Amino acid sequence: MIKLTDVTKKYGTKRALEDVNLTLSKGKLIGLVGENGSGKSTTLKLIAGLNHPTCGDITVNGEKVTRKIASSVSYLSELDEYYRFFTVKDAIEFQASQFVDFDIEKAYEIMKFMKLEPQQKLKHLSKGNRSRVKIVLTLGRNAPVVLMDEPFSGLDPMVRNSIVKGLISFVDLDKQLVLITTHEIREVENILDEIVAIRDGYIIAHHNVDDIRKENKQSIVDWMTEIYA
Amino acid sequence: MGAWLALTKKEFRLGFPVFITALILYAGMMVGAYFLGKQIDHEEALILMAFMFVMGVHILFLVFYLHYTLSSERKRLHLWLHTPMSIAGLLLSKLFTGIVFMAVTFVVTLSASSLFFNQNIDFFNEQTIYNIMGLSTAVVFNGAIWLAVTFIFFWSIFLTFSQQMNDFLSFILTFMLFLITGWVYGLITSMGFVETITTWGPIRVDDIIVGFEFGYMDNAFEANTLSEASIFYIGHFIRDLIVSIIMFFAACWMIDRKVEV
Amino acid sequence: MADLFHSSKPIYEQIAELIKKQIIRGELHAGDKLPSVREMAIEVNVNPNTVQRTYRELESMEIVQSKRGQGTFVTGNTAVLAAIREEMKAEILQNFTRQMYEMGYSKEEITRGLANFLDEGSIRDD
Repeated sequence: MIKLTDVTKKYGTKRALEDVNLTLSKGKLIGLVGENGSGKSTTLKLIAGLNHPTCGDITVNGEKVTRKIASSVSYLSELDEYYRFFTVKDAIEFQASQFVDFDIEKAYEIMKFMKLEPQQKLKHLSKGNRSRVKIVLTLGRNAPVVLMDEPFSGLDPMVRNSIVKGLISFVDLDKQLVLITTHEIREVENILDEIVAIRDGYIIAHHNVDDIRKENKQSIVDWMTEIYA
Repeated sequence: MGAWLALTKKEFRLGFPVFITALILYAGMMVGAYFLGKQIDHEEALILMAFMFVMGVHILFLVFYLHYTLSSERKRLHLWLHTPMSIAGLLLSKLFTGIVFMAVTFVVTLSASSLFFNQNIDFFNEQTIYNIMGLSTAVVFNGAIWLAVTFIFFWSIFLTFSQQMNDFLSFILTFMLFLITGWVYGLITSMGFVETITTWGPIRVDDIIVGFEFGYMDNAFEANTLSEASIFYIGHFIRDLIVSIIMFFAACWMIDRKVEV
Repeated sequence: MADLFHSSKPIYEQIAELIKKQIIRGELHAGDKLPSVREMAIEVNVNPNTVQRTYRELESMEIVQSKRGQGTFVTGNTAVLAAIREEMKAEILQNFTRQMYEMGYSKEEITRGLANFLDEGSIRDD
């Protein structure tokens, strides 16, 4: 589904990713974890076709990634930037006009679930509610690949919980692959299928989370502490 | 097409502040000129000068507009570029809304002025007024679009540079590149054989205004348009058109391949 | 919500455990329909794939049966259900006795203690 082959990414002389090989399969909720600056966001941007690898190949569904991959990848940025003159409804309708796989009914359902009102202007929303809008716009698409960059960062537990619930309720794992970056693993450890750990641009582990619990009799947090030690 | 129209609708909302600002600014200048003129008792002359000034500024409208709208997208490139639409589609939407805003501002300013001229100014005949207006339209729009495409081209270069270095350095480099390119372009177009292949299809425009002459006589301003027969070449126009198209697609290529979020 | 599970044990096993307890307590009867994978996932806040895995495991233990297009049902085979009941009892007793032995109590002390404890009614049967 997503395949990175010998991918290296440099920004100027700074190396962000080094020789990454990664295959992620369909129907999984996968966590990409690591410290700040370890290369998580870069990985997501490369898969979204918004950044370009210095060398190596990236494919999504067998298709070589360019910026046009946006038609099968729904990407949520960690940045809190949206067209602030839009209302929630405007934002949903705009997203629907730009992506053929956008399911308006589902989007309104997520909107209600997130307790947002269609007439609210984005510029009047709290940070937590703006994040909820981003979730509505990202999960409203029936895209085969959903990429979410730090969807929980800087949000209070209530919002984080509603996002986790939203993920479980509205992602269709029969058809979609979800890749989430986070450094708050506790938030998502119960909903992940797989975990990919990254450090200084290297992938250092890729496992099924229940296998880690079963084989190591360890919690994911303990396991991570161990591999990062 | 539906996606593009929806995008264009968004562009109208995003760029609206520039449109309003321009309208207020132009109206302010004309009204200011009127009152200043009234004080010194030469309102026609001042209005005319203000009008010419506004038209001059208006050539830059598209560039200002694009600068505003592209700068605001730059803050959210991850959003703007995360779309299956081509970069050409994204940029054309901005260019199109800019031209519409420009035309509306233009028409409003023009009709306000023509109303004023027809009522208050007796030293122009109607023919001359239409001449001025027709000519300003052609010159302003032609110039504005050429400048706009040039701006987009160099903005993409700036954005490409800014991936590697800070904004100040990128700007300096881009500006130097702009000067060098301009100089080289000037050299090329004036080269003998280039002149030969581009100078064709002459159009004679009789009675075209190339300047104004103001005279002070008997306590009244008198304005004469200096007219002479001018020759435009379709070849030159085609040359500029081709260069703009090349610049436009080069810009698209850079944003698509070189710019990262 | 996340505290529903121990973080060091596979979640699919913990959900299976929950369902088995519900069967033993009589909250789920033979032939009852289980919540759909998605409903269950939302209820306990885990990934639908995990619930899917739980149901698969339970099916391989013949505790549940999935009927194509209808959902997953507790087996009608009461012998299996009785066996779970026994199994769970055995498991708890085993843990209990292991701990008691570890503390050095004798067999007599354990049986006597347990009998007295039950007679005093310190713990109510639910």
